[in-house]
Amino acid sequence: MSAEKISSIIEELSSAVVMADLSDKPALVGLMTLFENLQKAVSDNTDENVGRLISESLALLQNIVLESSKNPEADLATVSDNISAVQQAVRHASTSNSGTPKTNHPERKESKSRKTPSAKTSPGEAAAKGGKAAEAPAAGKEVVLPEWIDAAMFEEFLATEKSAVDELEPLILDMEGGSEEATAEFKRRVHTIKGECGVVGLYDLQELCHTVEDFIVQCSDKSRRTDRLLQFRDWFDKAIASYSQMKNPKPPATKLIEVLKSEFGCAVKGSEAEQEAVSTAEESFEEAEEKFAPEEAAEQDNATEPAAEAPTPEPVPVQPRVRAVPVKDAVKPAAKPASEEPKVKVGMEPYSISREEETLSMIGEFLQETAEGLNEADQILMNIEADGLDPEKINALFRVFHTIKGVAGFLEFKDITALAHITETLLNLVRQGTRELVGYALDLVFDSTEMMRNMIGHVRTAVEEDVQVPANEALQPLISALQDSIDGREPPEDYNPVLSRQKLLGEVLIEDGGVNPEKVKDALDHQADSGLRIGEQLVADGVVKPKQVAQALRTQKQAAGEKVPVAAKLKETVKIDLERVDSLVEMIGELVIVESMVVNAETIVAIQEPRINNYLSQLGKITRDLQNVGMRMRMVPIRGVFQKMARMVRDLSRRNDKQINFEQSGEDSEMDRSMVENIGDPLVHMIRNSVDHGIETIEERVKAGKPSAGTIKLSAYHEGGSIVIEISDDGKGLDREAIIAKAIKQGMIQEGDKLTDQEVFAMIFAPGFSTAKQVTEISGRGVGMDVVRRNIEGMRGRVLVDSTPGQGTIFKMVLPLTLAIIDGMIVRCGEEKYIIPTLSIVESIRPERGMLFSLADKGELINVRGEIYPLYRMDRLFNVEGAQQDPVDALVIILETFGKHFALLVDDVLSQQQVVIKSIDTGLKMMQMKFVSGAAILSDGKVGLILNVEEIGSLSGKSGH
Amino acid sequence: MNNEVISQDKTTGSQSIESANFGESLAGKYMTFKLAEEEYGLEILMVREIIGLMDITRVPRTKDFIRGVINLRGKVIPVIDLRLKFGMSKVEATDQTVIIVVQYSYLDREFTMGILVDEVLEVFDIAADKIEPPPTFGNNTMDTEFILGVGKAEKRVIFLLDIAKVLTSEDTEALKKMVPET
Repeated sequence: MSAEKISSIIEELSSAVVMADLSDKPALVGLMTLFENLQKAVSDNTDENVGRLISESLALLQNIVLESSKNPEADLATVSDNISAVQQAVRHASTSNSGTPKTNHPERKESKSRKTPSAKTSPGEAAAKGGKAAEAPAAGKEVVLPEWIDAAMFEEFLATEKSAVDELEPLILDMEGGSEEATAEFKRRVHTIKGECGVVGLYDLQELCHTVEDFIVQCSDKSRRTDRLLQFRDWFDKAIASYSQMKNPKPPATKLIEVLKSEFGCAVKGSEAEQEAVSTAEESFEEAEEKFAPEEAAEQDNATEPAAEAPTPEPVPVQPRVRAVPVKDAVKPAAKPASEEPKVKVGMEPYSISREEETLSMIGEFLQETAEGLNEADQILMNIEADGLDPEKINALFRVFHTIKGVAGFLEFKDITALAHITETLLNLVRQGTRELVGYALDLVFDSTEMMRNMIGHVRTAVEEDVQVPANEALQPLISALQDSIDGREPPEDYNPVLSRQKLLGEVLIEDGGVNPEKVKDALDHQADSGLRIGEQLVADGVVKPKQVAQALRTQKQAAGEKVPVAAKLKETVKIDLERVDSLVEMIGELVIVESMVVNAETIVAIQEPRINNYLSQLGKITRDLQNVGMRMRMVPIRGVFQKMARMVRDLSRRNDKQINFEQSGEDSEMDRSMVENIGDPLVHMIRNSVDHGIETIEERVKAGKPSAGTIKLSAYHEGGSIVIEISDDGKGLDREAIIAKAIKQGMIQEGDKLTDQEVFAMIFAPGFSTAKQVTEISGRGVGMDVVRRNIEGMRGRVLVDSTPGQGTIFKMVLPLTLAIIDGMIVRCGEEKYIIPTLSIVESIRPERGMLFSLADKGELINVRGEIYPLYRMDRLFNVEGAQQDPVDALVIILETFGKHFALLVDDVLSQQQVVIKSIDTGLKMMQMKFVSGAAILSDGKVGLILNVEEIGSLSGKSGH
Repeated sequence: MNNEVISQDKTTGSQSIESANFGESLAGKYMTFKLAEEEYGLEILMVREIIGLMDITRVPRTKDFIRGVINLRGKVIPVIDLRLKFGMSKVEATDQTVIIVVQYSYLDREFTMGILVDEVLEVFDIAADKIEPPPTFGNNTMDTEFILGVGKAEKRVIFLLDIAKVLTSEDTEALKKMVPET
């Protein structure tokens, strides 16, 4: 957790605490939430005092909220003092930290905020800094990178690994369910991570991955295995985090490795010389790989086989660890006798490409990135040719090929992987200074980029026309040439770059069309006499049909990389800075406003010219389309959040000794990016609730005649213009009586009040409300559901609760698709206009005299088809002058919020429109608006205020407004 | 933005620097405006723009000096009536009435706000030796805590405003209330 975050929480806290009013429960609960966040944020802070201050404050606040504090004012003051103490402690800590090695890794910060790619430190510079860091003594909590690590590559590694590690979690969970696919996929991922770790030089991480690979097959106890794997994932996550912040060094990997090894009975040599440990690991490397991932092992062989021709005849000792060499490369040759010929030659066989949509989209990205990478490589090569070599250039070049190798390997383009690998090997030698990149070697690398360009061309064609990737005969000679160069052999006399050579038409016909080579030879002879072109001659000789020739010509052209018009297009993507997207969306928002201002301008409306009207409606359509596209740009699938929940359910059910199946659906539904972030917290609380209070223990379930394993379903789907996230469990359901009893005790309702189920269930969202008989580790303090409510409210959504005793509970969160735009109903009250979110509106009616009545203690009420709702007058809520006083001449809008219904009296409904929400952020508490949640710009260019339906709804129950 | 830095410098400056070189930190260009019969100065770097009076949407249930919110080219910003804030009487808007859009920083964040004033006068350069510490008024309508200093030019007296303090003072007052009196 960054110091920035902590200090921002503290700041928020200190401003919140001074404004806290003892009677304002929600604000106090909000304070508690902030403290909890802070607690999380400083959890790794060693200062015990800080932790103590926070827990003390939390306890005090809780007492205040639950009204069990004897002297709430004094307690609040203590809390306030605690905050300043914490603030000082943290500030002190951060200044003393920043004093010393702050300069160590400024580039690390940039890798975190990937928004500013332009700000990336150039590799050379970064490497220099990295070097400096390594020299510095391991001061305090700073992480010091081994000096062999290339900083720029490391940064890239961190960025990819972060997401890779996240993706492991769902796989682990699926594996527990016995999914073979997931297991295979997991192994593949871990293997990839292992390779990457080796490449950047994090050998301990590499070893850990390796152990995990072994562990997966060695450990047969599934649930223990899952525990350990999750532990591994978490550890890895921490390690990545610590590297990306360059703070709080990760716990040593050796411990986890020992634990893992102990569980598959493999003796651990403990703290023996590290090299030994590695070599043992390395020995079992091959076995493990071949035994358990045969396919992949084969692929690896292909990729690395050429390296096996290394001139050393006997096993090489493991390379000293300080070298920035992929260990794999260094070790592999040792395992193979040098004389052995590669088993499989790449590029000899045509192969097919998977046509799964996901793979295709990845291929699209791959092709694009590779093409860019190759252009970059060419540029660098030309620079090298002109200005000579420097480490920065060679590193950049190395990265290009390394990236290509990684992705191609993942996509199973064996030929590309092999070429990238061998080129990388050569470049590595150059990097180490054992080879020079001049003359022949340089040519080879040039050839390699050219060849690769051809190969990705083939792949593109294959994908777009749904054909096989053709065999590539030119590849093997190039690879051999590269290998020779690596081994230090002289270039063969007859080597000429095969690449740009076009295949002859005859060759193509022989390969693809099954034409007899003899016939072609004959035709060539005839051609000499006739002067015809070879294709024509063949047709004339009756060897082939014209159609075949046409096909062959096409193939020939493609092979030469010429563009041939194609039918299907690959989906291509561009990575864009989020800030740009945001500003685009913002501008679209403004365009929408201006458009409606133009269209509604009086002079324009008065124009009766059909042509103008036509233009205007076109303008309107384009604006709306644009708005849609803009909105979609910010949408991301909700998947990530769902995956986290799966993990949480698993952990919680363990701790509670409950069996729970977690099902999810609709995780591909898309939501606005910021909403996906905001949805996490409420989901955590609701699911915790379901696990802790909803699902019964195994015994209880069996007694009730239910399957011993409970089920929690998490689903997302679209409903109307909004997105619904539903959590349902088949637990015991909400206890209506217990809720009522508690509500009476807390004075929220009175005994004898008749309440609908909806109203009763809605009360669980009240702050400090919990029916749990005991506070458990997970829940029971009554804060969680209030958090849910606040978050959902913040997103202008609502929550519906439905529950059947003994059968379970359903929580339904209805949310707008985006935070930026809502559907609103514009209502008039006196001369003022207000916006009511359509999501909250149930109906609007013109009341009749008989529907209205009032009670002395409850104020005005309205009876709509037998339902009694409290009636609020907008003009009185908002102190509006000149509004309609007789309800019969006005309109009543029935609104719903958290199961509560109420009626609002307005003068008129003007229109319904989408409005772009604008925040009014003054930072000032005095500007905090009552009953208003935000503003939007109306079609007349004026600002309209958006009603806070929830806040008005909370008036009921309290008398007088 | 550097105006933030400057404004902060001045806030602290007004408290700590001796009156001998008092004017040093405050000297510079000020945008002057009129409120009733008094002349005030706003440090020029804080002023974003000056706009004519436009439709202000009232925000219900807020302090009366908060006139409401306006649409400033798609941004919604609050407008404060400085007359009411300083306890002067409310007057009808005239041709001269304008909204000065200022940007200030509060709790390390940047905010934009409009202030409604009677009339904008000029941009005025005030030298260090023409600036004096705020006078200690008796029971004047205006609190001197909002004044960084007093600029003098010929026969004119210009109150140099600490606008960030003006706009956030309500919060500060609330803060004072929270501190238990022991």
